Amino acid sequence: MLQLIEVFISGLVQGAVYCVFALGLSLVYGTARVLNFAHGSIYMMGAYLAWVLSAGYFGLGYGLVFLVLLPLLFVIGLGLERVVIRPLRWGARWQTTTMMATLGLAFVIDNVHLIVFGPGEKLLPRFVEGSVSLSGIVLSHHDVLIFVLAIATVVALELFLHGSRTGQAMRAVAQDMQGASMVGIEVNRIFGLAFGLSVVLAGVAGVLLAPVYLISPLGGWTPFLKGFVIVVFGGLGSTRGVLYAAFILGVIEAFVIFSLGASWIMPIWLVTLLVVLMLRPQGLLGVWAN
Amino acid sequence: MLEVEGINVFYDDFHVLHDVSLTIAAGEAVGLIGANGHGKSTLLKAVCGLLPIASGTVLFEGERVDGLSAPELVERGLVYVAEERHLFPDMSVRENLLLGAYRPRARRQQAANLDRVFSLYPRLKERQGQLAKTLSGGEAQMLALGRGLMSAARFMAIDEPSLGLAPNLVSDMLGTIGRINEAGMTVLLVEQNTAQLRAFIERVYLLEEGHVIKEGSINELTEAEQDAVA
Repeated sequence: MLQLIEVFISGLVQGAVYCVFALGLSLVYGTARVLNFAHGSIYMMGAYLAWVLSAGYFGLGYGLVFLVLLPLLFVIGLGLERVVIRPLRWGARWQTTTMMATLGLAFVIDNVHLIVFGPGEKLLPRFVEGSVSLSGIVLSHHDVLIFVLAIATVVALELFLHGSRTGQAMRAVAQDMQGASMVGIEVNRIFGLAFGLSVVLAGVAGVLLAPVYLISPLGGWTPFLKGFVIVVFGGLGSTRGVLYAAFILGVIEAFVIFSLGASWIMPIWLVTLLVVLMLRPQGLLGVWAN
Repeated sequence: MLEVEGINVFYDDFHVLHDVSLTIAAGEAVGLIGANGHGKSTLLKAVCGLLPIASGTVLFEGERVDGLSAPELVERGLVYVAEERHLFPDMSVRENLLLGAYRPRARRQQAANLDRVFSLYPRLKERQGQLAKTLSGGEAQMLALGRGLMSAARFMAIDEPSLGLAPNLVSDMLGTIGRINEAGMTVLLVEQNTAQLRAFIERVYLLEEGHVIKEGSINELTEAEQDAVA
């Protein structure tokens, strides 16, 4: 019984990080209508940058790593949107061309990682060592911290989207792009900000999971596929749907690992995707049901 | 206040507006009529920066504004109220209205404009917590107009506000636009329902196949022209 509770808790921790990752994917899809194939590669970029700043070269503590990394990722995101997405936007079939451009971007990022860091894996140390025991259930400090950081990130994003003027504008663009222009929102600027934020979210997720999963040039594709399943399951463009889906799938994954073994993870995720598409193609809380 | 001089507008390769010119003085309410698909909405959107103008000029308060984006025009007080409304469906009535005041100039007048919208449309005040997607057609139209007022508009281009409304609501809706106009707003209104316009519209332009074919008071339109419109 205790073991099952531990499995459940590890699912929640994993789900919280998936949520951070998938919200970034959903944010860009929702506001800019771009399916970002490079989201997984950007996740790895976050992990590599954190490695460079800490264990790799600069030896910074995690607090400083995040302090440097968050603005850096945001600026990288703004730059990528400007260089890769913006020139194609509003051109012929831009929804397809921007998607293909992000796929190309993913390959570029992966290969830059390969050239700069080599094919070998890198490891980030755990954020904190030690564990607590609550009436027999063992929780590592590291997991607790990851969970708290992931939830804090999600809450901060929600506060931004609902409480700030720019966040409101982002939701407005997601709900009706022309309506947003009509009230005077500069839609292109919002696209850029959404992309910047999504790169921050992907990068943070990458750092949070790097101490568990190793950092490698192609390590972002599994999270990308998972993020994609979460976004479809939750309902394209729905923040709350992503939240539910991430936790549900995180917990399912933990039990799959516990009972069937880690090699069953991806088959189960993809079967889940198929079942969702068959039973409820609009997802849990799809905004674009029609 | 608004001078449109010989503009040409295309949808992809299709030439929609041919050398269209019109003039609207401050405080005037002008109607734009014509059968569906003859370029009325295109003209409104082009003037409000939502479609590119291929050639010709638009002057707003004496300054060239063709080529400016919709947000820049909203900042100057030139606001488009769409036929399809383009509300934010998953936001409350209040959030929709406050987003109307997104631009800095409108934000400074936000409180006063919100009072004004609520006194013009008490229904919106009652429903301010409700999501926009749950509103009836009439309420959604009120919200679209209210959101335009929140943008601190000085010129409103209003596209078929009576579309899809029950007949008894149409005269109410047009009546409130008349009141907005009386309070000083310059209005360019696309409307099929010419009979209802007589109350407050001074002049109309008749658009056919992208050309202005007639300008004058509604009473000067022949019956054939009024039929062509309806």
